[in-house]
Amino acid sequence: MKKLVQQINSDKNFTNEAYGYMKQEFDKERAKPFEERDFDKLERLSSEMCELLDGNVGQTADNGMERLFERIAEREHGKGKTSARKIRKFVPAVILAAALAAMNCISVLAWDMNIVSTMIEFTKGGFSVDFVKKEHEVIELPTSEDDPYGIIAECAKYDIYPETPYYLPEGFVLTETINNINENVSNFVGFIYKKDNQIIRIDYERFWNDFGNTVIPSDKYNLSETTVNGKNAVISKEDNQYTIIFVNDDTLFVMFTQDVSYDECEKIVESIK
Amino acid sequence: MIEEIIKMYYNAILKYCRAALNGDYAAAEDVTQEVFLALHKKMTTLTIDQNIRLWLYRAADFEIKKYIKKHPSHIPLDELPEETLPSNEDSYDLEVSDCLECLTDDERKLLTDYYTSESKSEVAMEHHIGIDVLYVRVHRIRRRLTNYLSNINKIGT
Repeated sequence: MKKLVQQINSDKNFTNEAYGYMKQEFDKERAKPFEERDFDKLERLSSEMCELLDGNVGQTADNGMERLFERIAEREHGKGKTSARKIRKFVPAVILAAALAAMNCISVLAWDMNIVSTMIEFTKGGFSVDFVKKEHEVIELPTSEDDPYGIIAECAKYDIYPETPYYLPEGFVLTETINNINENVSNFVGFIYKKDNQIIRIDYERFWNDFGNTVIPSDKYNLSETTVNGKNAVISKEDNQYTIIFVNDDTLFVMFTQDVSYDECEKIVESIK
Repeated sequence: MIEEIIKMYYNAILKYCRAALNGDYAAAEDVTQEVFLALHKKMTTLTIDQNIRLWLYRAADFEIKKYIKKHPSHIPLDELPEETLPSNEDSYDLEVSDCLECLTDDERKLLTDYYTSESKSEVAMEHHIGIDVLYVRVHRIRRRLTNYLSNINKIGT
């Protein structure tokens, strides 16, 4: 018995060893794609880690909850009449759809541009366009100082953590968000802004393994190169269309505009951070 | 409705954030508050049958990343303080046997196996628990022994 107590006493690294093991398991589980995580396990591990930190069974969060309720109550009382979601009817530009469908695309690899790791292949088509006339409503995403268009928060739902433009030209409204989860391949979120016949579309696609093929519609091979926050980017400008594409870690960014001045497009790109 | 959600998930999200932020309680609390404030903002657009739990964890991941980005000098966890069993030299043997008597047979066996075996995973398997649970149970036993011996020493002084 005395030997056991001596062993316990001489174990000077127990807490650190225990915490280290749990942290490792926690980080391993958290590193998995969101849909594959075992949240019961994460809850158990985080609870155990907190117990090691606090020395008793969990630290109470009552004060924090009280403060949270106060903040919510303040919000509720301070809130004025929020404007109801504006409903407007938009008719998609069918001419644009036809033009995109007929456009040829180029192979950037053939042009020998060593700027992005994404493979871009010759193909027909480009961005999918809905040929069916339908009414669109304006979508209002929650925004913040760090997320002026709600893009970051919306992408976070799909485990995508992008850079966002901090400037979009005045008068553009968000008419559509598109999302797609292709298990073990990629998560995709797209935002379509419109103003009369002008279109700005911003797409984010996070790839879990290799990057897929990406298409830049181009008839005249008018490509140039630039950098966006240190990342190399490809730009295509022709026929009042502007396309920019770059890669940030495992996320592909594509912005396409129709009938938006190139100066405005450059301003949007410069505001990305 | 948000009150019920907060009461149900606040502690879990707080602990998750704390574990992800190297044990920093203040940072975890800030982040947790932002998660639920975001939920509050979103309540009008979220549908009732959506999986709130998953939404909260996604939002937590986002807020954690945002916090780390804003606080790049976020300091990693310092070494955790270790507990050692206090002892009074004069009556050490008596104290020890008394203190171990306060453990159940299972606890004494677990402690003995933990400190005599070379493999934690084997001990865990033998007791039909995971390694993390093994660590927690040993931690709790050590804590009880510490408290027991501390009380004895206080009475003796």
